[in-house]
Amino acid sequence: MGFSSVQALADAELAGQTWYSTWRKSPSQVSTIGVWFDLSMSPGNPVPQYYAASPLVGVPMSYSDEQGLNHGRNVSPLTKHLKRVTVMTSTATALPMPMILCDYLFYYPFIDEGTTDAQSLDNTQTLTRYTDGEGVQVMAVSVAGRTGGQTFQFSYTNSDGVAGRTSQTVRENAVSVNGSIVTSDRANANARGPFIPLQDGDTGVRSIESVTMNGADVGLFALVLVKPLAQLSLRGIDAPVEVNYLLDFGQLPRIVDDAYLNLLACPAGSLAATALHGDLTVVWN
Amino acid sequence: MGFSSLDDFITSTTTDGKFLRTDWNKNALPTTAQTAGLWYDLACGAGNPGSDTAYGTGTNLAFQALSDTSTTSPGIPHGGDVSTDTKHIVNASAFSAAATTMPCVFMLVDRLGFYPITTVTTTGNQALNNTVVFPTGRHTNGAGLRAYVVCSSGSATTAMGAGTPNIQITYTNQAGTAGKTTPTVLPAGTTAAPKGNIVYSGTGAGKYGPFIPLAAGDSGIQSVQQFNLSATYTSGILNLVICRPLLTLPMTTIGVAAERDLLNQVPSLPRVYDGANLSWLMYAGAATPVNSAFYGHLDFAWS
Repeated sequence: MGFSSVQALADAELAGQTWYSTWRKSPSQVSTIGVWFDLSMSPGNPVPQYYAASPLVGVPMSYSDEQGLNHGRNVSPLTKHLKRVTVMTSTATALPMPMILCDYLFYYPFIDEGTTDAQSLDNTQTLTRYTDGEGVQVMAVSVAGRTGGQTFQFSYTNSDGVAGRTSQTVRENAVSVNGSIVTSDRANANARGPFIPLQDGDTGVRSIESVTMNGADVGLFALVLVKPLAQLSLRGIDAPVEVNYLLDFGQLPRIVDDAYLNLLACPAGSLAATALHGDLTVVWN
Repeated sequence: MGFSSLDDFITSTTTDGKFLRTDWNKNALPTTAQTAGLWYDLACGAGNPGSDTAYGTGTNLAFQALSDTSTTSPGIPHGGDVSTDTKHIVNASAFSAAATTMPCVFMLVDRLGFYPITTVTTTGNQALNNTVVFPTGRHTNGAGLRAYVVCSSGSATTAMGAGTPNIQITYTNQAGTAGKTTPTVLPAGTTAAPKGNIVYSGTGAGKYGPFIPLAAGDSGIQSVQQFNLSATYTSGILNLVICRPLLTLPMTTIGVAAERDLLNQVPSLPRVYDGANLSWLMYAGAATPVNSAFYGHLDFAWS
């Protein structure tokens, strides 16, 4: 259903169709300035996850399996929307720091950087949310460190169902910390932001069929399919960042049933010993 | 009634004098430093309004209602009944000058009442006594009501004993459907949780904050029929508190007030029903020393 008006939103809140929860991430990892980092692998609440499963076999992710940020229970046939997010910290080292809230959908674990053979990925299981892949992006998350500097690309099926599409070739950074986004770096040519660019014209990924390293390295990464939902930026330690997505952005990002929510962050320094405290409020109708 | 326009609001609060400012002062818990990442019920702290001494007393498992006139578990004064007008919170603030209290989040709730649970060594479902019902007039069929479980034993400072039991309630939801239960992963109690601690808050599997999760699709609680511990808590007293959340105030910096304008900044004007028992829950972002003092105010207006 969703909301047809601000009145409908207010009425839903008055009817109790809202959920508030807090989260706390306290990374132990010494992250690097300008390199995006996956907070789902950090200690805290919710508990971390480590993309640990059979190598190259795709695995769906969900709140009921891995938890993630607590956004309440399923509400179908109603629809749930993100109303507000708050984040704050009292440690300045990693600030300012943009963050992206994502629905983590699916991952391919333990892609080996030690071979230049095409590595076929197992798609016995498929996306359980955003099943056509529209808007679904891909990030490469480090789960074992590397020397860095090698490039790779992957072959995928796009959100129109067209197979054989090829991502842009991206270069790996030299960051050895698990949880780092392998292809993000502020200094590397052909390194990118958190998400790997797709073939021209494509707007989403339904599945990934294979990955090919163009030069061997040590290390392992997971390819993770995510749906970016919302952005915010933590600027300083003297005030919380509070985003009301209706008032500030004129939007209410939808959170589908059983979504696994977590955060990406691009720190300006090490996140180690930085406790991030936050909350989120969702409303459904 | 409520406010029909900004003109009406200005007339009510100025010409008609329908406005009240209340200052409050509450301390962090009296016996044990608060742990980062956990939630606490500041009703158990000293200050003004005074510390709760009602939790944990009375008939075991029987609901006890709370209101703005409760003397043993007082709320922040808000000026008494205004019906047929409706009262709303216009502004709120909170701050602390005490070391290592930041960051933190305060949540204002209207506590409708609580079930004291002294039988914390009993496992399995325990039937709750609902001879006293949730206060009428402060909810519509339970819509928006939430539940939390706090350790407190009257005026004593007793902590919970050893144990990490899973906690589950069986309740009737806002639609009147009975037999609804807390979904898995169930909230898990913390061993030796101190007075005032919301016992399942924290870090790890089965940790939530601050409220007990409701079943899929549920948005409120009309009544609670059963309380269940999966294992013994050994000793101590729990309280299942029913409340309505009203607003949150995040704070990052010692000595800097968190200020919330609920008319212009966050247009919501949370309603304060006649009889509301206003109290603070606190999320500790840092190890917060015993009796750390917090101050603030609430502005109310009605029409």
